[in-house]
Amino acid sequence: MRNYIIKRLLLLVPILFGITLITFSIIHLTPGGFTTVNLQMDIRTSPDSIARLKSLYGLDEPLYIQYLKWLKRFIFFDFGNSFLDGRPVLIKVAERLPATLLLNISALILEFFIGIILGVTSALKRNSFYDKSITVITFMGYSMPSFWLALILMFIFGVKLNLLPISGLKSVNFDFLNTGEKIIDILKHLLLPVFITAFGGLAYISRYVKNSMIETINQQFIKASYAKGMPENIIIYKHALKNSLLPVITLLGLSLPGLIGGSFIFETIFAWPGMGRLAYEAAVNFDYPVIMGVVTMAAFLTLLGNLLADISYALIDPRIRYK
Amino acid sequence: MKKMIWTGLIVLIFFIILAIFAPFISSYDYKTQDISLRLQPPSLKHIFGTDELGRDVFTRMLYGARVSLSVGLLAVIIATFIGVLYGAVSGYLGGVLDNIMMRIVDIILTIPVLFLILMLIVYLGPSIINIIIIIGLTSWTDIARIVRAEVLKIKNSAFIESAKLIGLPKRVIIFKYIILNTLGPILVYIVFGISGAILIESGLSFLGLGVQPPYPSWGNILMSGKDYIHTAWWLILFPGVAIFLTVFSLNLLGEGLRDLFNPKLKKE
Amino acid sequence: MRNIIEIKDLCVNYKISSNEKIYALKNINLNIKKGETVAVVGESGCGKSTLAVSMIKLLPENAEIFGSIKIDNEEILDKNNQQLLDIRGKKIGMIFQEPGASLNPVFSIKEQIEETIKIREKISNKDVLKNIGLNLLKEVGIKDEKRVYESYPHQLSGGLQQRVMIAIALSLSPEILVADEPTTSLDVTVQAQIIELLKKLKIKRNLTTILITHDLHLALELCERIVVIYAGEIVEDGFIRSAKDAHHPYTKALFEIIPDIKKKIKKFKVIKGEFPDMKENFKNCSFSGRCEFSKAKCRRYQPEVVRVGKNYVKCFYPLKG
Repeated sequence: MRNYIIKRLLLLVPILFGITLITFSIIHLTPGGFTTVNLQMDIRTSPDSIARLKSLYGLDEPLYIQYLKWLKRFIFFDFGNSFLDGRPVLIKVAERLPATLLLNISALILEFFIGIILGVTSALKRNSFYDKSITVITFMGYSMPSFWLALILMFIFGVKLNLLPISGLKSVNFDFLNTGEKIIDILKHLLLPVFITAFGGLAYISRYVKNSMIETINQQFIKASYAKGMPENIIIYKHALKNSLLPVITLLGLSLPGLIGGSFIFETIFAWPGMGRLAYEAAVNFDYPVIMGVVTMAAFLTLLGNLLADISYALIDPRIRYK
Repeated sequence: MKKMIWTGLIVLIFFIILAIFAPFISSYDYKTQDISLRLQPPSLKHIFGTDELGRDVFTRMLYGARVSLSVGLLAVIIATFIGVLYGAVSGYLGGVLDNIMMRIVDIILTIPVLFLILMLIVYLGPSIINIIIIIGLTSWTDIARIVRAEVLKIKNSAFIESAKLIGLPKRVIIFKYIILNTLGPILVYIVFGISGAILIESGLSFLGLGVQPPYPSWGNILMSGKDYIHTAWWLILFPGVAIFLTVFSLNLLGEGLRDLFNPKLKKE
Repeated sequence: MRNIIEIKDLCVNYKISSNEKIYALKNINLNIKKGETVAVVGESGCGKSTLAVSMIKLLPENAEIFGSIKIDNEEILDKNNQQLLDIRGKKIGMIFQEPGASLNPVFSIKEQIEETIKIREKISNKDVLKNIGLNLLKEVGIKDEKRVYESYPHQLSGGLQQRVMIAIALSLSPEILVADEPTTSLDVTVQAQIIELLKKLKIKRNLTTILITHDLHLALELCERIVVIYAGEIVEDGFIRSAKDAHHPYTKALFEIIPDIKKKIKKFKVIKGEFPDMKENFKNCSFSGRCEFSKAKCRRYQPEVVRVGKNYVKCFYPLKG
């Protein structure tokens, strides 16, 4: 088991290396991308910031030297300073990280919680009216442009019914609230963005769980459990459930890139002060270093998530744990 | 299964006809502004109403269909071309090269696609052509994996062996036999790919990072509409429904095709 | 001795589509006395496994079941899932082919043995449970029972897995043990050990044992009484040791195709023809197509069961032996 974790951690190195190579190539090989001309034409960048950028990327040196120097900074998470306010990119990203994690982890929990319930119940009542309705509804959710749904829900719950706040992480009067009210305030702000983020992925997860459950129920050890005289509800909710939910852990890791990537749309719509919104603000302002920082951080988070998912899978599944 | 394919196809063909014959269907121009007609609710003259600059929303949606559908289609063509080539070569040659090529795919997969797209848009600048290229360049990894898996499956099958024995060059074997045999999964991918690309394009346009005005796209109609959500519901409802219907019918078609090409399901 | 199992006119069909059915069992009549050891023998797909699971009413959703199965004079086909718990595990313990697939891969052996006892015998004391579990493992001949107890299925060999399955099947002290192809996926030496174990347990626990197998050798090894099934029907039931005792042409053919190691073999004997389509509900003798003695009558009508010597035979022209 320890070997497995060490192996996985070592594998991180070449992958991270590859990520730097890809992002570096994008900077240098994109036509019209990172040239001085292009930067000077953009009125938002001051000559000062161009100079800083040039020194960060060492644009006049040979390409491989540039890469090595850049890589050295990269290893220490030094992505330079923002063009907009001159603050270090790392600090700007770190400030936004908690809000992004809060949104995405809540959405992930909700998505898998509901997805698993829907999947298991549809598997147990397969081909029933219930099963078919769930399939249709989740399939529609999967086809729904989420930003549009967000807009409509914001309008209904925020504007028309005035039940939920429609933007930000907390209310203006947040600092004057007591602890309980603070939690409720944040939960209220979370509700819509979390729901929207989770909704699109439900189809995929519920179907995966359903198929996995059906497959497990047809296994011989389920038959053997009936034969040895176990009550049906224990067979289904203990045996079948554990076996069919194990592969879902891997799915959890795999769904991370989409989730984190999608966060820039939802965070922008809901003015959520997270990394995604930071990326959007940076994009519309051509704040190159910040964009780079966010992309690498997002890739790093995804990697970390995948790693955690794989390790927890290995910890839970005895077939891997005791190899 | 057949019902899914037909429903999907009919809705799609309907949208495609609307897009192709846009100038004949509507007598308005998509960019002529007339402030005196701004934010008119749907009426007989303007069946989907007018936007904040007095343009006919129905006309803009017709032309928007052109943009959305062609962005989806062209982006997927690029992605399919890269992906098929990459997957076929990787799977067929095998060995160390295959290993390296697949690790590269793994790495690209760990970078959240939308952030990658965002970064490229900032570097290249938003325009219809760039959006197509960027979506194409960032979404070929799935198809490469599918094609590689299929190639590995049939690589050692008898008829490839016999093709080798006759002395056909590798190139011919890869392109003629293997690609012909992977057409099914590729077609399924293309359909899902188009629906995904349309969602990405409309999302980007909705945030102002995609198709730029005055060119219409369903996404940027929604973008301008969101500021008038209290007064002009038609700016929100119609483009959203259009995106949903297009994506929904593409997904239906994709599901149907997947079942059709799945030999396990065929027997039942 | 009283009959512990009485099966009367049992028919089981599997619906495979709206107009197709597999007739897995047809008019099965079978009585088994307490303490008896019976082998149910037949080719794969003949319905013998269906017979096994019917006895605990554990059939797939698409199955239709008619007739009567009485265990200790209790009709089990009328029972619901809750009532069936009194049969499953408590009256009849069952083991299956491929022990590896019968054990849940993500729970330890300890967990899988103890859960049944905990729930059904309502024992919750951990030490008591562990003691019962370890004793069961010892009883089925596992020497390092402590290691096995803490193991997961994939860490055990096929033979050990099957021993564990037997231990689990015996954990609620059933009176009947049904072993459905218990040794098919195992090595020959391990096969012999498992059969030895079943023999020992049969005596020690006074078990009524039903061995379902396609292997006549195994059947003869463990059981006196042999029930031969062909295409969902019992064609012969009785005390058969060799081809001489066989009164049904199919039984005779089965014995004759066993290669005898003492004789030099020029050619393996085979039963000519093909196994009939189980989707057909026969109106004639199902073996008539392959039977070397078949006459016009056999191809037109269903034979009745007749008594020949000590055996019951379903044939118009039973062999005299």
